[in-house]
Amino acid sequence: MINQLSVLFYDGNRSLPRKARIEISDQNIYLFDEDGDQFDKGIIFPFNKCRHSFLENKLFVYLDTSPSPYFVIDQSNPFYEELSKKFRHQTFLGWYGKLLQQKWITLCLVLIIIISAFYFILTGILPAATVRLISITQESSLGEKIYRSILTESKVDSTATIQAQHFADQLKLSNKYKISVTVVKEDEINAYALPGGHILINSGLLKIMNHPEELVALLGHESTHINKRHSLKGLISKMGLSLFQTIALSGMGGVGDLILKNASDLQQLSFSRSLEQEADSDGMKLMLENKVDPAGMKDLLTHLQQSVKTSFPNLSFISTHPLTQERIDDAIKLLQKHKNAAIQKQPELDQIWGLLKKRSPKAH
Amino acid sequence: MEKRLFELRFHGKGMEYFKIIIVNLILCIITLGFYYPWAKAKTLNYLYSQTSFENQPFVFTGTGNEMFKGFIKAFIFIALLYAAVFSSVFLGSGGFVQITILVIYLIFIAIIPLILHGSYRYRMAKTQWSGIRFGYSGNRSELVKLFFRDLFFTIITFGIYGAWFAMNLRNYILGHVQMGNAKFKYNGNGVDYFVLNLKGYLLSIVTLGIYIFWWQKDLFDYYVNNLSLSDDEGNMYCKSSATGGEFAGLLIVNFLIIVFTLGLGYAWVATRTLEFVMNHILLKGDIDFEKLIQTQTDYSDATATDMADVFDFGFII
Repeated sequence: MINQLSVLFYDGNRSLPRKARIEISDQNIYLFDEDGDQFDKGIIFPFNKCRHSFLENKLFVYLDTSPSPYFVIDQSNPFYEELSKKFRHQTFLGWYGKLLQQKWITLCLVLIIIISAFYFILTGILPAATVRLISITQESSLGEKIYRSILTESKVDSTATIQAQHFADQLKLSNKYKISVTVVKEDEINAYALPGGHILINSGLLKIMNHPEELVALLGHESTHINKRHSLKGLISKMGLSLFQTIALSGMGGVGDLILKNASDLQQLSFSRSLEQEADSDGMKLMLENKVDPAGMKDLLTHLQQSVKTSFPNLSFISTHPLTQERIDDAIKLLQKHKNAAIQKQPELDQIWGLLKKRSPKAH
Repeated sequence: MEKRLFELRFHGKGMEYFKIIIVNLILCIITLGFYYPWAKAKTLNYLYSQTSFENQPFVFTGTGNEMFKGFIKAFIFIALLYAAVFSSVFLGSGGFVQITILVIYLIFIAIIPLILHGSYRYRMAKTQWSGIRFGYSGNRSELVKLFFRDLFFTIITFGIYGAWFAMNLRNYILGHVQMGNAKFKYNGNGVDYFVLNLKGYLLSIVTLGIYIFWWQKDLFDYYVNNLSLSDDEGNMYCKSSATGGEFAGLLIVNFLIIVFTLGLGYAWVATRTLEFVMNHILLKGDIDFEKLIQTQTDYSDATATDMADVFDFGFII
């Protein structure tokens, strides 16, 4: 018969338990041999060196050593309540315990908040900090490499390129970057800016333009993407976790290589509404600084919208693309603000435009 | 002692386990993964403490601190491999890159037996029942030899020898696991295992996949039924009582839980599965489990265990 007060003690040498009498002080649990005198002087389980688990109305208390001697105390034992209370309290002492004590729904919420915070760091703070650490020289040489890799897959209209470059040279587009323009033989209506100063214009886009102010508007828009490092930011923020891994493993040096690996994303990169609007409004400011009529921006956007309409007449959702309409509206608002700005007729631009237009006659 | 049945049970609750998983996730994320070894210790502590044999729970005596040391070593090792690949890609020519990648593959394969050996040693030394340690007493160079010999045969037989490979490995590893002075023995053979898998494969195709559950059942049976434990005076044999239909129920419901909870139900899947496994192993024999003696030594190097986690291959052979 096991005495109500006794517990079963497993000594860590044999699997056969011995009956033990238990006594508790503030800091320790003492076990005394009941069957004989094997541990007459008592085995000490200091509370702070114990682990425990509950299973089927029994409490198992282990000494935190290897092997772990332990004892089992049954629910019917008068000490059970006191010990369980003490150990339960101990479980919830540390911060791990404090967390574990929460309701599952609270835990899920905490998890969601932490994941969102990390998402924010990965897509917001980290890319922004990385962009700041890349110097203009690094950016330009990176842009140069991307440019060369893009050119291997596209056909350049070299005469138009020379003329377009000549056109751009008449304008002041950037303080920090050397802007170089390339015209690519491609019907798709598109143009994009590479980090560091390259602007690529598809010949399809030149075809839908009617006057030189539109080209100035386009250059102003793309130059703003370059000046404000939108392409660099866009490429870097698309990398997410791999950016984090690269920085962790190979420092900032690896970032350039990573950008190069992802450079093909550049052509699919679509900027957010606010970045496009910034490029439009700053582009118009550049036009004003060059004393070119900023109405060219409105015309360019309108032509873009129309050409999309005629190319895809059935895709009404594209032709009424709210972004383009909104951008046109914004341009009109800005025009009214600047309606008294000084504008000069610029014969050089008109002349180069004439040459360019001869090569790319109007499509429609 | 007379032959009798022994009781193996899993008592874990999905909700309790779920909370542990979530807390671990939270702590792992905010520590950028460095909490992982402690998270693993907490998980194992819970699962062990909820598994009982003859009414005594198992205990995992390993600690997060031990596993953290191994974790750092494993981390440095992987980082070096990564660095080697990166630098060869950015510095070297095409041929050089291919050689680097080949060498790294060879390193990966070469360390598999070392990982198996080390992780079994650690895990078994840290597994305890009734105060008695488990232990793995396999010899590292024997295991390495066995591994490469069988790998070689498997390659030259276009994978057919893989069944013999798997059984030789399992026989060796499980045959060197002890529970105090009692020794495990696994008695698998390549022919049976090959036939079992060939049959499972062909019938699964013929039945458009339905037979997969019965194949799974056969694999489980083959694992359990060939396992035994003996000490000087007696033996304990294992017998599976699972049926293909039960396996279908388990796996289909598990699948549905995962899909409809977007993975959050993993805790319930794990506890259900453990319960199923424990409930379908019958243990019968005449070992006197109260006469086990502590014979196995302690071993606290967890590097291989962490390595196994990093490469994500299962613990059980």
